[in-house]
Amino acid sequence: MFPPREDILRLMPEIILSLSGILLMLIEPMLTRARRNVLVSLAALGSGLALVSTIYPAMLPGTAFSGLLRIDGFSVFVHVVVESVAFLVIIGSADYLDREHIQHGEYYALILFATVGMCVMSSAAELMTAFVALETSSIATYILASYRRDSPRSNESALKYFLLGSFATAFFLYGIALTYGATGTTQLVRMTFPTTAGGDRLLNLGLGLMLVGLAFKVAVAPFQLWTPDVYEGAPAPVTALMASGPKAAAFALLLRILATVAAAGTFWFWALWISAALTMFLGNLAAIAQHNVKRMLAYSSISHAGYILVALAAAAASDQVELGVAAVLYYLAVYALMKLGAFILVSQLGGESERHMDIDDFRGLAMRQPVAAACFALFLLSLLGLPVTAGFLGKFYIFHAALASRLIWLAVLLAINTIIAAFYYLRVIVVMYMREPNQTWPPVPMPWAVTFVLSIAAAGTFYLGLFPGRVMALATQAALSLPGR
Amino acid sequence: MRGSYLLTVLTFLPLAGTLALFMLRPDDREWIRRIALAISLFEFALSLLLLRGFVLNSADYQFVELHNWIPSPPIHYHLGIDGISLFLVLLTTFLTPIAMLASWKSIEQRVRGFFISLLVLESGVIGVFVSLDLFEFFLFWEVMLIPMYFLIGIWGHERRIYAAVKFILYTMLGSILMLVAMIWLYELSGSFDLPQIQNMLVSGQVILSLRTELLLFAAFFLAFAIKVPLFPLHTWLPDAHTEAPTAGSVMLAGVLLKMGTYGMLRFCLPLFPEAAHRFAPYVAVLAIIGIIYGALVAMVQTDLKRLVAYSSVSHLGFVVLGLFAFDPTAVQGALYQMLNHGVSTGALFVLVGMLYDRRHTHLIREFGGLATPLPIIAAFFLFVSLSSAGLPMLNGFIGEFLILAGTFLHHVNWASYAAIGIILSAVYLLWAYQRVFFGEVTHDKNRTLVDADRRERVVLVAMAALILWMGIGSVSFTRRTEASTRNVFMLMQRPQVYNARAALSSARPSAPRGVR
Amino acid sequence: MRSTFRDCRFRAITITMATDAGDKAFWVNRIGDFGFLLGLFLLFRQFGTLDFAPIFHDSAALPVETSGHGVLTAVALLLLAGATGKSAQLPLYVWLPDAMEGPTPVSALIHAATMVAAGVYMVARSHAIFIHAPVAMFGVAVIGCATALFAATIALVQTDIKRTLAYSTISQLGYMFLACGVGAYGAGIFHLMTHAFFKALLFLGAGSVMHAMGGEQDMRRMGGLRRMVPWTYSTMFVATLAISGTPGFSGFFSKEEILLAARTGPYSNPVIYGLGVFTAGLTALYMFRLLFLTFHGAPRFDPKKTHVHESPRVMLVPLVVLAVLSLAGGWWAAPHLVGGLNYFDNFVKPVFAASETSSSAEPYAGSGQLIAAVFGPPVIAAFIGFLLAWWLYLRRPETPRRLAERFHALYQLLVGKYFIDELYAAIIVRPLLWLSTNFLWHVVDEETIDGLVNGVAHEAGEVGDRLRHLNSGNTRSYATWVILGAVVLTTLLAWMVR
Repeated sequence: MFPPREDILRLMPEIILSLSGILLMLIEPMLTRARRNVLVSLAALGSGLALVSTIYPAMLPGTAFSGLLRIDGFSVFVHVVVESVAFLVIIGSADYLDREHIQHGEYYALILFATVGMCVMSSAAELMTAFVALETSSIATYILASYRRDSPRSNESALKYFLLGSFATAFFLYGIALTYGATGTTQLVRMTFPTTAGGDRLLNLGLGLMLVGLAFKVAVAPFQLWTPDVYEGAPAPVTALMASGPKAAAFALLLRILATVAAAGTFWFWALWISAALTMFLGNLAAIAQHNVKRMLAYSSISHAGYILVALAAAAASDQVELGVAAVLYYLAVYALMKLGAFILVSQLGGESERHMDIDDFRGLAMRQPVAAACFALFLLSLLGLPVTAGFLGKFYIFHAALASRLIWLAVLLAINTIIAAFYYLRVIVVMYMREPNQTWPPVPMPWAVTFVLSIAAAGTFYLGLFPGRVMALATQAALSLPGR
Repeated sequence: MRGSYLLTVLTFLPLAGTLALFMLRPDDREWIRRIALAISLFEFALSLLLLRGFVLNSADYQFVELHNWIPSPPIHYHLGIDGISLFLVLLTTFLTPIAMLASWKSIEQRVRGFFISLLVLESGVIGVFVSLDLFEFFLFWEVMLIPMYFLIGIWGHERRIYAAVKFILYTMLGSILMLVAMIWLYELSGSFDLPQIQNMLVSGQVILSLRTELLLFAAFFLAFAIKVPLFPLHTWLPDAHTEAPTAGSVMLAGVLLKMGTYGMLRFCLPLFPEAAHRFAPYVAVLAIIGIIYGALVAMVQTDLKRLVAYSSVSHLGFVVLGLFAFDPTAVQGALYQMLNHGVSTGALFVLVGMLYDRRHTHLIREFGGLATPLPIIAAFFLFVSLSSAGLPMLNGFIGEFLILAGTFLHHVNWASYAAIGIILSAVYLLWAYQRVFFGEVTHDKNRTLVDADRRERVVLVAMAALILWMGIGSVSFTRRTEASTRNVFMLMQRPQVYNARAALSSARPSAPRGVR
Repeated sequence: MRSTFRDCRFRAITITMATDAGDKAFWVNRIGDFGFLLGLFLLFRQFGTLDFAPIFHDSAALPVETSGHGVLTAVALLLLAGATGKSAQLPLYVWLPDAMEGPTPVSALIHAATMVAAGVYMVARSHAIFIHAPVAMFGVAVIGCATALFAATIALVQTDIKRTLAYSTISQLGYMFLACGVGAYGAGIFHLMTHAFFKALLFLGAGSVMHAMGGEQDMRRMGGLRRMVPWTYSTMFVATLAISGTPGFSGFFSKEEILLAARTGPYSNPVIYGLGVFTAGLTALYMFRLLFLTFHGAPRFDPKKTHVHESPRVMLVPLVVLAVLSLAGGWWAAPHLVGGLNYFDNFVKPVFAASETSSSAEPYAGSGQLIAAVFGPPVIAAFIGFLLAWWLYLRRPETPRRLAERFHALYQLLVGKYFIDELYAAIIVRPLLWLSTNFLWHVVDEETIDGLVNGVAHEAGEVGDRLRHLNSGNTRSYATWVILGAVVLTTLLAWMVR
């Protein structure tokens, strides 16, 4: 009863990731010196291999494991995004961990396991699988959030995340139960027709609860309140991971469920519309008042989730679903890069025990460390959506999708939010470039690993900002491969 | 000219030049300045080739370059110039070395960053003027905000941060709405390519409903009106100018403001003519208010730079008025006045900068009687002031006269009110000049000031010569701009489209289009 | 070109740091230019061109606008506005007296001859338009007449020698306008020419006097110079005779032609004629006053302190040349009637063919009655003026002071130049400055517009500040929001979707 060879190949990235994680945990006790290099190398190798091995699922689209998983262009795209994020975070965290004296193998293993969860989330064709994957990624992330054991903040954030996350997942599970009750199956493709009487309502109710759980994960209003606290408290590289990976995976799952099961109708559209508007404004306006860089970036993440919702609303409103979905996918890739770069940079510049996380601490950075400041400025401008950067094209495609579906008002709201956001992004740039440095601590060293990660993120930002053709084509194909309406 | 890469080179040469600057040490001020200047002068020389190869009497785009860029949605790398943009590009390449020379001694901190910003700015601005694809246009439009933002925010004066942030947020607000409009236009036409859209609109292939046209016009117009700036969206300008360093002001007044009026001429009028006609009276009122208001407020300023800033509001009010008079003469005048303003006001800022270099203040009361220690500067200042006031034989007169003459043909009252501006422009400039240069030397500090050195004289002579040439030999300019400005009017004629639109709207009741 | 002209003059004046005057000249002229420009635009709109020839040709075909409505009337009035500024007529004359601050040769050139002539020239040149706009022509005549009278009255009481000449110039320019207003365009131009001779002479002479007196300009401190600077005196005497319209001198012929047209031409007007004659009398009065105060009587200064010497030859030669011209320059243009060559008239006749009226003197040829009726009053008035001047300033020199005390208010009014400058400052300049500073700048720009902009930004920050308090840090409250959201969602789902 061994699964067929194709299925194994289709699951290759996840297998490699799991094996690397296990290997890491086994090897660690046996290492004495130079443990960091071995650990990092192994973890990086593992995630790198997994990334490369995504070729296999790409070449073998189809269902796997008797319909539990569905490998298609969509899942491959998200795989690549999530695995790249993992790869970069692993490399970028190494020096941070050294500095905080928490260099352990579990860290990398947890990242790898979380990535497994995220990958499976994107290819789940069946709800229980989705649930397991969701929990895998969540629990790993909870632990990672508490990784700085000595810091009360870190612990607090992890606990909050755990409590609220479990709470939300409970909704998800209950939603699955209701959906099962309504349709008699947990497989997405078979869920379109309710079997029992009053099943329609039950189905929608179940969907609603599931979406509450997922909405929590991606941090959209009104479920986003955990984000600032958790992002602020968690170690910065973990925040980098949290901000990019799980969001992508959760959105992917959300898309899959909505696309496959949700009955066409105006309700979902309006729900998405209102949520998008609310999320954008809440995120951006609250961000203005922030002094802590991580918190500010957390609120910015909330608002970006709002932007993605705009694209979702566009998809829900028109027949050309792929425009909206492709925009979402492109934005996820872009957003992952930007946020990752920003958080890794901040993790390095923040200093020991993340002492210097206030915006004011970045005063005159341009004069002390011009390259780092330029890099940060680049990411901020990309988040803002300035042309030439990836952020702009991401927004552009969202606008495109929104206007193609005639969502003029929503597009205008998005535009207004861009301006509001400009306010706080520019403030950091102002502080870095236009104020005198008032501290005299020495420039923070930029180890080659961090530099490597940042270069990739920066290069990616430019590449995706100027030549989106290839990637957008892939995203569109991915969108088309999604089954459903 | 097919197969020519001149425009690409012109657009990206300054950007590439920054690489050369990156290779220098940050504190190697002499070489940074020299190399930056060399690059900008070379750029200017190259741009003169545009003049040589320009075909007269042709309204087509010239030096066109077209490459595919983004497949979906179809966006192209499409460059080209015509009579309208030709001189704006030249203005840019002319003013950049001037701005550099004017800042030679006054920028001592972070010199490398400064000159890099200037070069990037030059690239961005040229890109705006030569782009023929809407997406590309927007890209350059936004990008050039950042170097300007840095120029003001880093090398500016006391309230520089407030001014820089105000500048960028204000401008971005307009442009982001313009982006929405551009994408919407794409939805309706299927293209981002300006000539293509133009053809589709003229031929009736694409017909915009009146409401759509009005909204699109409003979005584009708003973005440009903020940039011009048109009353009452002008309040960012005095702050930006006052706080910016000299080079920043020269580029801002000389070139950046023209992007607004260029946009109106290039997009608002030809693409949305009916909306333009309907909005014209309101625009004209705002323009006239700007002319008079700008002049009156300029009159009572105590800060010399702020005075020149308000004078820009006043002068550009003329330009906007000329554009919306829908008369070929007036539009020609408006275009000419754009160039005039760039040179004259640029020169004024250079001169004010020279005063600042010596006394570190812009306040008029700190000066007085400067003609005694600074005769050369005084003489050039007078020359430029008179040019700005529209003295015949100098450039300003031609522009103002053409605008007013053309406007008068269609709207007597508009022109009459606007003509009051010519009285006022003499008042505020000459009064300020008198207070600064004439009379007795009032502060002892001013007695020992040093007059213009060789570098400064070169700059002043260059600008004065151009002012004179533009005043006497304006034909050499107008014969190149004529065909294109007439073409704008041709593009605005769309009789068959309006008939079709009328037929459409009477055929069926307004279809509910869920716009959400 | 006029503007360039003005600009050069502006610079010439201001070089000597007479800054306010220079600015004022520019602005007042600009106001006139505003009218001029509008007139130009109207012409352009009507005729499609700005060339003289086609315009004059086309306008000949248009009807005469006796009602005062019509394009040509509007054009003419606007052109008149421009000319008023340039040639220092009421109400735009205020710049000229101040411009006396410049060096005397500059005054001589610009104010006597060249620059201020531009306005008159323009009106004369555009006669083809004015002919069709009788209302405008009347306006020209009224302005010219009023200006002539107005300026003459002020010149009566000025103490600065150059200022007196300045107001005299304004007055004579008024005569030229008057000429154009009554259709005697040729006569106006002729007077322009003769005026150039004697006014330039007067200015240069004044300069010579000032030079001799070491820079003194106040006539009250002169006197008795006639023997000390004989050449200067005699040339200025000739000029004074000319300007007063003494028969035989150039000024006589030009002034007579003007007044003749005012009395008898197709546009004649008895009131204007009467005032013109009266002003002629005033002219003689103030000019001889100037002469007597400066050169006659006892010196009112200390000859030992101020070493008075005649000017060098280089300064005197022009004076003599101009004196000759002032004397003889009229003959070659005087009408046949009195034995002149009428050269000038024939010279300009073709130009003013459509409107020339000065040749209307011909019908009176040979009539002694004519000579008395037409040429009499101005000469008589001039003679009366001369007598008065002799009486007031030579015979009974204390009389002027007593008169000034008797008619104190009137005297003050004249000395203060009718306080026009102050009026302008109070009505126009100061309110405008106040408005611009307090209202436009502070209220509108800073508080309203900018306030709005800054206010929006501030509000955004405020809202953000309040929003962030949603994040209380309290986990339970977060969970509550989750529940809230879930409840809303599910309720709507259950309720709406059937």
